[in-house]
Amino acid sequence: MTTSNCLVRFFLFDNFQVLNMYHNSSHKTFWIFDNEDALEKLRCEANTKCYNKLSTSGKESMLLGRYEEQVLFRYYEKRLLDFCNAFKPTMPKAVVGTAIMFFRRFYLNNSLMEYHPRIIMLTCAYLSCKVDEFNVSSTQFVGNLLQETPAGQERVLEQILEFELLLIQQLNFHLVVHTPYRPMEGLLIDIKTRYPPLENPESLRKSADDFLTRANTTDAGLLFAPSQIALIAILNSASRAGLNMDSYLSECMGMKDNREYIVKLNESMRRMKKLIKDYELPKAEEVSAYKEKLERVHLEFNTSTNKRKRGYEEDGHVAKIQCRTEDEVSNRSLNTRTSATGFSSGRNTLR
Amino acid sequence: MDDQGCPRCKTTKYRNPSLKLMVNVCGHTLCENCVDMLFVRGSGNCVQCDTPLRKSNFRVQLFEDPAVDKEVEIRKKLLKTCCSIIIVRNKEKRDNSETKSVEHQPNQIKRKQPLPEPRRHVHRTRDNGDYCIMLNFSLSLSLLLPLPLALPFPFPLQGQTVSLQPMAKIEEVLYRYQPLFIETYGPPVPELDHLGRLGYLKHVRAALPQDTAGGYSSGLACHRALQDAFSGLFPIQF
Repeated sequence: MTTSNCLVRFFLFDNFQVLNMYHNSSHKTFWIFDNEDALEKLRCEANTKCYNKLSTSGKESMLLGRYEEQVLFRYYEKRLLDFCNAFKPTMPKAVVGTAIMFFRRFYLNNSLMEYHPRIIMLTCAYLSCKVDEFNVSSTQFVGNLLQETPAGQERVLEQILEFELLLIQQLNFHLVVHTPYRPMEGLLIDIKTRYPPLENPESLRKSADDFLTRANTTDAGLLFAPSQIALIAILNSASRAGLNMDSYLSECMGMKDNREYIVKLNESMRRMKKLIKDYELPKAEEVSAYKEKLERVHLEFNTSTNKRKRGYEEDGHVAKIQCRTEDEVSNRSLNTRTSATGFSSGRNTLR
Repeated sequence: MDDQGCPRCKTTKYRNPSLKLMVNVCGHTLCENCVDMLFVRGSGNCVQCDTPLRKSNFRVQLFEDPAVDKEVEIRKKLLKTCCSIIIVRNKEKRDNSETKSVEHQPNQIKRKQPLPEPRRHVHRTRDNGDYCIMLNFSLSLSLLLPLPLALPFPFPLQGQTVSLQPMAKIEEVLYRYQPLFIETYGPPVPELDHLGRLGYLKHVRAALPQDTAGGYSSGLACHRALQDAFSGLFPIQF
């Protein structure tokens, strides 16, 4: 919030804020899922689809199963996180959060066997820099790949640019990701203002930040609204410090009239904590074994290069199914603007 | 270049670059000098079609084709007339209505041919206090009119002239303002203007003088953060 970058955004968005908020975003409409099982199902489907496609050649033993993919996904996600954290100039947290979210969203509908996570991960980071207005040039970006030679960096850059459009397409062009960092700032401001019983709200910040960082590497972002994640981070931090914030929820948040909200919030909190607890870094020996396997798969089938040569448009891997529902949903969610659209469509038919 | 000349004195743009061509309601050109000469008394006849013209109706020709200028002029006039009237088409009544004639004009106006003698395109006859309008190029009119007026036009209009009957008066319901309501799935956010009064601004970094140059104030950042914090906060299953 202190960077001039954000400052400009606040200013620009002021007039459009009502439309750009989370509650009518594509994030809420398309990328929040009911429960963990729904996510698991999607990932299994992606894996099975790719598996079936590649297994025709009779080399089933080479292919990766769902568990192996999961391990590798964790591994590459960690690498993405490390890359972002070591990035020079320092990446704002929102950019990192967006990058991780892109990565998650991408592999929700795609298999690691189809697209190599190494390049997708860099593409996600590159795209999130653009989306979140963190200005780095492409050469500056690949300059952060320290282990690469300049020629190698050049090659990686080419690959990134090649995959960028595919990534955008696979994200269904829903590029705005709402990260929980700004909501947390807002909640802290609100607590400071409206909840004087809490003496030092700033003390909550550190462990709440930790919570958010750890929630980042879980599916929390695909299951809960960013504001909920932020609130739960703060509540969690408060309960660790032995503070009770129930009266804040009931009085200031207006949850007094609706006990159900508090019950549900506690339920979400429990689920989120479980997600965080369940997260563990993949074991090194597993990773190296699976990585070898992944490399072999990509060498053998060379799927992604074929795909690129054939072009993105023609095949069925585009998430068309979702697009179809998109119109209906956007009609519903944007009903505040129907008069305007009705006007323009009327004009079109007239012409 | 050749056709860009005055038909009377045969001067062309090529010979006289400062040549100014004028168009009157009949759609025939004359150069400025000829206009001054022929219309010393304020009115006269068109050299080509002998229509009585007024000098004050001459306009500078803006388009290469004078017919376009003529049409633009007519459209402007029509727009003026029609803006206050709601037009309803009544095809059945058309034949036995009191309107004098229904003209047939193909959709494409043949510009190269000599245009028909000028005719008043808007006849206003007062009967029963209603205006009766006869148009002979309603298609172009529909593009010209503001949308609400153009809507009742039946489409397609290709190749036919629509005669517009005495208008039925449409009772319009007064527009009533309804405040925009947006479901945010969260607690209400305080208004931007009230943030200072409620004490929110004490807890955000004050805007530096250099920040304020672009219209930034600390309230904006604070308000945005609060909006983000409250949006979608209630744990409802969507």
